[in-house]
Amino acid sequence: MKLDAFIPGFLKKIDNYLLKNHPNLWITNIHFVLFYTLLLDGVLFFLANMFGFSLTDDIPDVEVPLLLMILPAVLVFVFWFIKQARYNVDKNFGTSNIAHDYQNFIIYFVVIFLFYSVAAIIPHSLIFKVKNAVSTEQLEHDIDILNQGYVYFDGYNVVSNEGEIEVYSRQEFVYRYENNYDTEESYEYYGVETISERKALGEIEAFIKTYNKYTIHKIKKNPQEILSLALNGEGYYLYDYEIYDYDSYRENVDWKLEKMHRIHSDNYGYMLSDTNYLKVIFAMVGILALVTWMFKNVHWKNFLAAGITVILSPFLMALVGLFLFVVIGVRNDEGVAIMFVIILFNLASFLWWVIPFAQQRYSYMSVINGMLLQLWTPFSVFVYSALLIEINRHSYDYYDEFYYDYWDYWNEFLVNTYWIGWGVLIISIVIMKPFYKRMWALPKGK
Amino acid sequence: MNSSSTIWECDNVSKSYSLNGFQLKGVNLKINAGEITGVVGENGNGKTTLLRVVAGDLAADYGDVKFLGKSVSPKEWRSFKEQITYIPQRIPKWYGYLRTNLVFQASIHGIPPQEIDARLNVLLDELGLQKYADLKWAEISTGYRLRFQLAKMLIGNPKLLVLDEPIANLDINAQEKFLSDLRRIVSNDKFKTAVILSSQQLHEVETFSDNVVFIKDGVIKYSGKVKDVGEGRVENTFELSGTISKEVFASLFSEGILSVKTSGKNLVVSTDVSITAELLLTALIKADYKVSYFRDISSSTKKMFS
Repeated sequence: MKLDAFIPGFLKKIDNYLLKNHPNLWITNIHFVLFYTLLLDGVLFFLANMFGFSLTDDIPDVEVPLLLMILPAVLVFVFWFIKQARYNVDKNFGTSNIAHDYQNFIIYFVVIFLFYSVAAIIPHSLIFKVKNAVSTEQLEHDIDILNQGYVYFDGYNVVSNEGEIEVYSRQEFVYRYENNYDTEESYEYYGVETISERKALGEIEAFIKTYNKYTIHKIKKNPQEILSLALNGEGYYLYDYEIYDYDSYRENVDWKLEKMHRIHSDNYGYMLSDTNYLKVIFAMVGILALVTWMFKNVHWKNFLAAGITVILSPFLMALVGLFLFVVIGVRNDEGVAIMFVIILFNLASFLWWVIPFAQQRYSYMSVINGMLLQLWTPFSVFVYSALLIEINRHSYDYYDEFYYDYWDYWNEFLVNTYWIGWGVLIISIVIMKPFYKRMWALPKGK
Repeated sequence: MNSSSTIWECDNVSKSYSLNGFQLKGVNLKINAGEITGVVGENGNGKTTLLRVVAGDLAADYGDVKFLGKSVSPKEWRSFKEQITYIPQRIPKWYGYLRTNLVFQASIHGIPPQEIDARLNVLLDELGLQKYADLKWAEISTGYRLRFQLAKMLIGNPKLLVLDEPIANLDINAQEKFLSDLRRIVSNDKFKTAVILSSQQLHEVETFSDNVVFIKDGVIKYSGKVKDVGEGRVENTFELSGTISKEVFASLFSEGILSVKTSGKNLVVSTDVSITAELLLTALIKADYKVSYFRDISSSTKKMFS
């Protein structure tokens, strides 16, 4: 059966329209990728949410489905990538301009991100499911109650004193992350509180009710029994608390609520909701989009050779570095030695790239070095900055009053190199395009 | 032929390969619009090298190359190559439907979307490809692949078409069909393309070409009109076979036979110009010899191969 049978009519019309009107877009298959990945994302989202999430359930594992789905996503990417070699506007000396190149780069980015979305949709759906099982306000309220009442369960912080109850050191049952410390009231209190029995029983009752809401291992004793145990210094062993067995830690209410709190906080410590994780994903997708763009602009033999060179370069650099280290004796400062080797390689690559280009002659190695430089430059700002910091670190010591300012300044700068890297990557397209275009058109030497 | 219709020309172009020592030497050549130039020569004598230089696929070591009357500078190669199409000996495989490939080619060459189908249909009709257009590459024969490749190349209205051994893998009927289609298209005012092609099929090339270039050991031995080959010659040359021995000719003609050589199953007879093909053939038939093959190569590059 031909695959055409699975393509809906409207998609065929779009395909035909793009082929005739926007061949640059047509080649990317963006219309097919959009339709099928979003459809698949929708189905996976539905399946992941089909069975709902009860508050007594364990928090689902998100890393395993992510890793399992990465493989098919990578396979689809490779299939799409190879298909990109089939049609090419520039290599067929068709009409195109730099705007098409940026359009293509953005489309590659979107396409690759959509492939990633197929891998990430199940974990995200599971998180979505967990997040929607309880409102943020309710969760905060429940954590407050648990943190307030936990003191009656640990067995050594509650004593009776002349008909009244003295409570020492209320400690948090559910840990809240530091980003909330500014806004949330801490229940950690290391003084002594004197409270009535009635109030204590009320706090225990609220704890039991809230605790039981989140677990199948219910607290079966009544508040009076819990209080008696607490006053006897025995405490109450929460069934699933402090079990260090890896498989059962997910059942712990405190662990679960801590994770749920992270998910609701939407920013801190939880891989898929972490801003830094997303920044890394965007950077990887961006580099893959750039690699795809380069693949479309050079002969596949150049591309393959550049790929092999990228793999071999670190070994060659290590050999040169070793030579410098041993023979010349740059022993005192590894930072200087590494920087020297990198500058040496960059310079060699630059000259090998630019001289044939300036001479207007085709050079196989010039294309490869151009590709290497283009791939390297987005990272170069970060690497050079980090090395400079490392080299200059010795000019300060821990007792220097500028030491901490220095680190703050450079840490901030290193974070900014992420965006500088993106800027360099984007600019590299307009710089390198005339080079690739010229090299493709120039007659070969043999 | 006036110089205004010259599409490509070169002066004293040389190219050498350091590895095997082969050299293409002192090439002077003009390729004109609306004409087919056939390049002939034995294998390894420089036909492909010459064609690659013409197509801008291979850089010449020396000499001046002009396209549309302008010397080609490195910066201009791209714009020139937009007007030159090169079909190598091994045609790269097409992916997807043949029609899709042709539409894509039209689209990237700036043909307005609303005109693409009409222009494509004219071309497909012209080359007799209409009923194969919705097939895939693997579903058509070598001959049709070549014609589809030709169609693809013609969509962009190239000024120069460079074909390396295009008919090498075709049967005799497909060769004639392809060359006659090419002849018709080249002569069509709508295209007026200049064509240079290489081939081992001398007879076919000479039949359909306007000009012929004979190349030997990297040197052009003859370059000119097909009809001018053999002009001013001092001898005639014939190829023949049948129940004839080498000695027969001396008995038939008391004088005028210069040499008789064996070439495979054939005899190659050189005579002075007084002995024409008609005269020789009549003499053989009258003497009751059976002639199974006879060809006058006096005006063919074929005789240059010896």
